[in-house]
Amino acid sequence: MPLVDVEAALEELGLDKDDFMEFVGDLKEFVSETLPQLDSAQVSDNKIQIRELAHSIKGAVANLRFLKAAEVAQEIERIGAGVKTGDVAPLIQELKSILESSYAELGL
Amino acid sequence: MQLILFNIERNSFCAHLGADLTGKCVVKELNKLEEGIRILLTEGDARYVIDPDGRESEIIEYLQSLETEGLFERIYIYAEELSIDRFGSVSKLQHIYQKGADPGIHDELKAIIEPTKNAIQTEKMRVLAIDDVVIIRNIIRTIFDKSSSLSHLEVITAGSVAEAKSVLANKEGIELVILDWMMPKISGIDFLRYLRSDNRYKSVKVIMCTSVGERAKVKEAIGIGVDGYIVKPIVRADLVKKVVELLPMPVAG
Repeated sequence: MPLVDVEAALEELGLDKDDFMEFVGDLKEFVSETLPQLDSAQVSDNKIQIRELAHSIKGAVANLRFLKAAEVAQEIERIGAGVKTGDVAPLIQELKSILESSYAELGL
Repeated sequence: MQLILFNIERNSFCAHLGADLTGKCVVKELNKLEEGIRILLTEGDARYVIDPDGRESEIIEYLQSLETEGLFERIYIYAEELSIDRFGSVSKLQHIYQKGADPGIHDELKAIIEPTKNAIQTEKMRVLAIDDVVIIRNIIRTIFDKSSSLSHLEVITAGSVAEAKSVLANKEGIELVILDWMMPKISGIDFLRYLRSDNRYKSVKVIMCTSVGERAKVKEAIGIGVDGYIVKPIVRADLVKKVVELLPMPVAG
């Protein structure tokens, strides 16, 4: 199963490939700004900020059909919301890794 | 951009073009020229509209000033009765059509009118899309840009409720809000409550567009007065369908 469902993104969002890749470029920029904030929130154990940042990342990746990254971001959001207990640090590392793999899958 | 100056009679030439272009007056349209309106309409007999108040000179001055600004590439005039020779100073005046002179003129003018007809007949309704994630705002904007059934709508975006309040206070014609639920500081559901409690915005339609999909939350939003509910990830067809339901394209003519 691919990490990014490009076909669904193009069909369901009504985008052409160029549009999609432009959005992916925007996503990379957005994530590169947001992940360090998520790291800081994790270090300071700021659950509200963890939840909000994870929610934003989840929204961005899920709408571009980055399926696996969306799952992990959602898990971080749940922990941030206090629904589940646990340490988000490994999940943040996993999210970073999945995002890199996703970009690679798209040839970036 | 082209300027078309018409002198038309109700239900004759308009009907032939399949467009209701009446109900405009020269002064009103002259006032709008600077805002980018491309078609200048006069109504009734040209002499009546232009001569008694000296508006012919006024129009010539306008055309000359527009030439100076380089706003229009070509200027067309359609007129039944007009002292044509007085427009000789307007160098970009390419054609002067007179009613009945050539049946082919109607088709040619129709082709010129078509792209701009809606622009002058209706002010674009505005949609305000509020989401704290810029990529989602841009996805929504792209969906609107690419959907011909939404071409009557202009999208404005805001990244927070505070920004949205400012937009609402300063922009007229916002008929629909597309609203994320979970946003930092003030949530979408709180903004929905605000909209429904303020008489200025009670008639504004609201579509929640959110990843929050629990039945209890949907019911809560419905109870407050939401008009539509879309669960993310966004699917273009669902969004377009819901928007068109709430803000259908006006029927031309």
